[in-house]
Amino acid sequence: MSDVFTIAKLLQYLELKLEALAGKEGLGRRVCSVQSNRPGLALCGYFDHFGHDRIQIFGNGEISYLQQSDTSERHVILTRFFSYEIPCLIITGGLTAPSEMIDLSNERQIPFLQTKHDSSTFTTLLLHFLENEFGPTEFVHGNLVDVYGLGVLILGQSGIGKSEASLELLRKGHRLIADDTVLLKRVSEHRVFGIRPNPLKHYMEIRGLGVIDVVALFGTTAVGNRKQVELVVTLEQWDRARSYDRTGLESKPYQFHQESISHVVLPVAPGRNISSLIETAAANLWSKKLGINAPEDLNRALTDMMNDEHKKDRVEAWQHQTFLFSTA
Amino acid sequence: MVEKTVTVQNVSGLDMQTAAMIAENSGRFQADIYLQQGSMRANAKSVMGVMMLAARRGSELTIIANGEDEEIAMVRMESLLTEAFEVEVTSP
Repeated sequence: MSDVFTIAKLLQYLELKLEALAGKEGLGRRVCSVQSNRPGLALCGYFDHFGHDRIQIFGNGEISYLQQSDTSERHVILTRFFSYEIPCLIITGGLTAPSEMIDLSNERQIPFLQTKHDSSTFTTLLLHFLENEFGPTEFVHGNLVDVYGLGVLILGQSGIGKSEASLELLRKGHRLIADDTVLLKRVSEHRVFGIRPNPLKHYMEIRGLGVIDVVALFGTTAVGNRKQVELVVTLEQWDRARSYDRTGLESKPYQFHQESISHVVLPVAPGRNISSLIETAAANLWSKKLGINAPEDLNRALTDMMNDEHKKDRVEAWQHQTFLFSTA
Repeated sequence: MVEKTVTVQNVSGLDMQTAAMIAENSGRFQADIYLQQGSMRANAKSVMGVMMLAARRGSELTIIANGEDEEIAMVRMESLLTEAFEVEVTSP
């Protein structure tokens, strides 16, 4: 987490429909975990493994349990419950909080909030918000383009042609998310998003042309603000001494905070149209998602052919037939 | 021009990864390099070409090299085809 995330900040998310009921002195308490806790077991007196460092959600079950228990019992359990350092308590579904809880919250300066959402909706929303808030972020020098619905992050040294490749992709009907700087963020497990960090309009700098306004030139459908990054394309000057992937069987993924993203390294050289190659890389990734893996399929067919006892005859027959009946 | 017939020793034959390695290695020579099996002739610098041969362990191939560095190219090709190596597959 980049900076301290407090309960007060949680209240600023209007979508969570939160309102502070008590313990407002404790709004500076920190949220340290993306997980929340339903304290049912603790309320029954079982405090082993009690996740007190998490946000405590009180739903219908917890509240009705407290209401049916007798006053002295409730007092004992709630006193023990509030003796822990808890970031905050949230009562869901507009339920009415027992007055002891209000008093204890104020006394212990533990924020007690209520939300209009029901428990399941709220926990989902909360998890989404917290993951978004806690996810690691990083600025990278590159472009993010939505190609056939896949977020493609284009990396490479200055002057290699990232912006030019993005411009060509734009002209082919793809969508520009960010030019020059992309803010990457892991929002949940296996998902890395890229956003345009700059709230200014979509401007691009093209060497020799200067600054262009993407929306004015290509329309509003040519731009977006965020996209999940599913493919990383690194452009680099063709290095004769280096070997590039020729089969597509092996791939070294791009790493972003333990997340692996598909990665291709494209050497730049005359005669290689980078935007077409990026388009094809995205299409190829899409076909892999649909279960079509060209290198593996071809390798399998090749192995079958190798083991075919009548290979020679078949190949000759095929060539012969093709010559015989070919019209083109 | 030099020519030599060898027997493929590689365990998995000239599968995709082996083909890629052959293409990668022959690409470093200036000489034109071909692999011939029966009536089929493939450019050794092309992965697809080498694969087209579908040569397995025990297949006989003729290496043809033509150019300035044909002698060293021949030695390299011969060792690639006749060493009983197994290409290490790194899982994606």
